[in-house]
Amino acid sequence: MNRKDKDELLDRRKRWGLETPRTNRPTEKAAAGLLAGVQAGHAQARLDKRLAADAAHAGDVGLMPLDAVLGRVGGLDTREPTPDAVDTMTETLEALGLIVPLAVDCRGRLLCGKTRLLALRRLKAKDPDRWGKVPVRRYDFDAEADPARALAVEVAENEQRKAYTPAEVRGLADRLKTAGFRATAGRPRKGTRALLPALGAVVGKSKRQLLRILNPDAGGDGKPQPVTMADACARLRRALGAFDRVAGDVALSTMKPNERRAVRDAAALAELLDRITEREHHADE
Amino acid sequence: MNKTRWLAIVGRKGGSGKTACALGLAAHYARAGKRALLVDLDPQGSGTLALGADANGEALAALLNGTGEKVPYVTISEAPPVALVPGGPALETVAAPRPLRDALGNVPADVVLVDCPPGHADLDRLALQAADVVLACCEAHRLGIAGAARVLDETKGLRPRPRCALVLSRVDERRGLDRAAPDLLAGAFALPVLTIHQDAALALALNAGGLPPASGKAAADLDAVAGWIDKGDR
Repeated sequence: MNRKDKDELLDRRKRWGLETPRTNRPTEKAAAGLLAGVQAGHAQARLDKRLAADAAHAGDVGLMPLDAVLGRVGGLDTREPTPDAVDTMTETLEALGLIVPLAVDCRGRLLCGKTRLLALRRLKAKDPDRWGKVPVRRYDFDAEADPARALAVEVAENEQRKAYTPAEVRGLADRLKTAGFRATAGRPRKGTRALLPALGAVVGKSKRQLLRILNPDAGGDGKPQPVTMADACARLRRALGAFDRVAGDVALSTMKPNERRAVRDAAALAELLDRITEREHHADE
Repeated sequence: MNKTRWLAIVGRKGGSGKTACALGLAAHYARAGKRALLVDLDPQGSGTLALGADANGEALAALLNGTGEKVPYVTISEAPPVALVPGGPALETVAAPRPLRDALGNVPADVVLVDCPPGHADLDRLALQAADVVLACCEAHRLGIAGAARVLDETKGLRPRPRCALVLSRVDERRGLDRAAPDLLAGAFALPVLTIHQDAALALALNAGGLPPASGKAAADLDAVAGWIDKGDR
């Protein structure tokens, strides 16, 4: 690139309100290295989980009398489910049944699913015929003798809930709606059963994630996202930045006519954005 | 704070600043009048050595194996109140450990800081299972970050998930990478990223076998880390 082209490039970036590129870019390469580290760690964690689950020798799922499912070893739950969580789970199970089996060790002691177990016990008290036997996955080791493996199973079992696809989540939401659950803004009225907590209890996703799946165009609170002029300008500037990363290193003199036109349009857009930003700034004053 | 808070300081990779972070936070809490207990789960016994105690780890290993009963508390300092459960090579012999909270029982502390070992997934899991808050330490380098990502992923299977943050250690803002890393990693992990700057005073204090200093760059950063942890109280 000759001097003239370089100057034109810098001038273009300046006019578009973009940062002047650094002459050396070790940081970008290094930043890619950091992100590669994140990915490598996730991959290793997935392997850890698979190995842990393999090591745990998962058995088949079968029906088991609910009364035969015992609490965790020594009654030890690091975190007790809240009463609200058990209420929600009870309502969800009543509507959908038990989708994810409980996990127990070779002596029937719970490995994963404390909230579900407490909810199932409540349901059984009301309807022993329906809830007397429940699907259970039995692992062939003793949690008391091997608590580390018990934890590995708990982690692996809980992780599996992450695998619900958006379509599956929407399907479960429809089933809950049919059973009378409603997605309401704010705190649900007395007697109304709230959809999102019930769905979250099944698929292990946050309210924000669920809203994004059920209503992809909405913001985190389910309402359409308001866009301010400043937001719109910032988004357009980001788009210009992306455009510049593609076209920015190419000198105008080497471009085809339509490419030059695109660059000129982008430049005009950048000027327009400057004028809008300036106007907004004056309006603020 | 009305109940004991358990912090797991993890990282999976060696030399990622776990022990410095654990000791620094222990000193911070103790100076704030809280009883801090450092549990050294590291078979290398780095935290124990840094505090000048006997690093064999036999008593803690026996507790975890279910063959010991007495928790081997070592008083490091009465005021500020810091105690230690020493770690060391015997922890390598722990095969099927009891849960950490179960093994230690009622601890005489307001904050328990579990300093985790490098490269030991089973001992990490013990700490993660016990923790209310997990701090994953690493330097702004892909190997350290891979270790932190690996151990943070394990927390996703815990219900409810403990509060987690990434702690970038030995940050030196003269390096472009260290400047860029917090934003980059906050986006990649969707977690808060806290920083502890490179600080010779912290390194010297650990080398001299004492508690980290109350002032300096790293001390101010550790105050901010503790501030983030304590935000969970409100």
